[in-house]
Amino acid sequence: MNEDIRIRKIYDETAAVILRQALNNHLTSEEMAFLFSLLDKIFDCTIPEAFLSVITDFLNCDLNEEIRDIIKANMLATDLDDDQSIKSGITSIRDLLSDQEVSTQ
Amino acid sequence: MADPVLRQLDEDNLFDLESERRVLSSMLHAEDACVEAYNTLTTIDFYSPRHGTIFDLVCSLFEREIRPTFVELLKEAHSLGLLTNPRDIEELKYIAEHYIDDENIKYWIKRVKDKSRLRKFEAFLRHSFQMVLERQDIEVEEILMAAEEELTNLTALEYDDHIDSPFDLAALGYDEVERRFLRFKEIKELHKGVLPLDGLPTGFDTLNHITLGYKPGDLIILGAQTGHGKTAFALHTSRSVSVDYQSTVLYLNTEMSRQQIALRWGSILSGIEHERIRSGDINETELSIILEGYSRLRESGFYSYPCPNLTPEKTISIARKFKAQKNIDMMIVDYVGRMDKVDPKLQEWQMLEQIVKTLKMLAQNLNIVVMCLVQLNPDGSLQGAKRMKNESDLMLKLAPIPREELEENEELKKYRNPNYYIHIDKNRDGRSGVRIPITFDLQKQIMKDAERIAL
Repeated sequence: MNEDIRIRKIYDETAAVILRQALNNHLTSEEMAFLFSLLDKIFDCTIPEAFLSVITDFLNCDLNEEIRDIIKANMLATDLDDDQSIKSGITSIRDLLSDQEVSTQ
Repeated sequence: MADPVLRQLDEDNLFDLESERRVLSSMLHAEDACVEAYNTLTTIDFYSPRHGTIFDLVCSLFEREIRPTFVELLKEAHSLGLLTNPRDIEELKYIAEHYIDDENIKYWIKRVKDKSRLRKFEAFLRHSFQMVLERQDIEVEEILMAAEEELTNLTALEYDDHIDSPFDLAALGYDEVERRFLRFKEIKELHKGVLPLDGLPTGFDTLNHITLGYKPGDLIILGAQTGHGKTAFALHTSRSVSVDYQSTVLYLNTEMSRQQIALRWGSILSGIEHERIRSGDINETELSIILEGYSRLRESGFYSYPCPNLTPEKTISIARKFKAQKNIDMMIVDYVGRMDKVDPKLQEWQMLEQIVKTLKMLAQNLNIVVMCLVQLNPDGSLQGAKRMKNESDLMLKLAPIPREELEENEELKKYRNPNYYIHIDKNRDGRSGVRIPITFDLQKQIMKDAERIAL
């Protein structure tokens, strides 16, 4: 399989997973819209690396439910078409994650 | 009575679902493929109703200028309530995963189109066979004539092929004469003898008067030597059509950057020397005049597409896309000499001939005006000129007026500062062989009819 087709396949597969999860009521329509938008931005290479890294940190962190919901709400409120919104999203999520680290130490 | 002949027909031979999936998949992954399929296929070319629906959704996204990715398709289908269970998603994913090499899109489209035509032929056979079985009293001549007509329609390759019946042609002729009669009356009564245009304004009063404007379906060729105003003419035309007349123009430029084109507009719309704008040597008043010019450009219908490696194929694709999405009235190609050769074995004149033919076809199929700029040889001639002339509806040449002529020609002395001629070499709808004196201010990139001195 050539690289181009492999990338297309990952994209199609991921999109299908997102919608499948939404149809099975595991994602809200807001979450679905955010993930679709994020997927497109990743494949167009138009999302800042810092935003992806903050998402990775969030997923790797062992967080309590409350802080997880707050960070998620922050993420969903981020407009991925607006650089300023992405920047402030990154800052607030980083702050929330570091607060959490401090409180668990 | 059963039909033993048609019963033997293998139904599987009448459709090709794999090709349909490959076309749809390619539309989701490559814009060029999307443009090609959008312009070549229709919903009924798809055997599977599901495929037809997906084709409609993708076309609808494309028309709304939303890149029809798989995500957008899922979103659209979901919002319309077409995806209700995971099986539907799997089916769409299955279609999307029929990846092809984007260059092969025409092959797959042809397969879908061929099967579609075959189904129509099969329906024709069935229908004819049924008629012979059921209507034994029918006139043979009548059956054959009806069959011939149906078959002729089927074998016409393009959906837009149209044969005028005597009735159609007479009605068209009547409408055209009536329209002209009413217009002539209007000219006399309202416009005090000034002819209103039939097409887009040319940017020159005299040229407007002779041509009645650039009409949809027209191919206009403008030739000029290097450094003698090809791009200035193209942008002057663009200004007239898209800024002053508020129609939509697509401008393809093969040699200038976005910045260069944007700066030229600053000069054209402000009347301030191009060189000064380029170097920034302007005062604050001039700056605000230039900004005011750009605000007019912002409200215009001018779309620019700088494209250094333009090919005839790419031109078709871009024109179709902009026709579908922006409903362009005119396309300007600046200039054809820099277009890439599709076949390296072709001589330059052969390539130009091929490009010009393509552009004429494009003008007619999309019902837009196409203007293409060509380079004249130093002696003012044009390679392959005869063939180009045949294809064009209007052939213009832009050249400086020789100094001796300026000094000796009494007619030119009736004008204020004429320095260039627009020579009408061919005009399908009117007078040709005419030379129109104009004033071309190279510094300000502005062209206008040379002003007549009041006697």
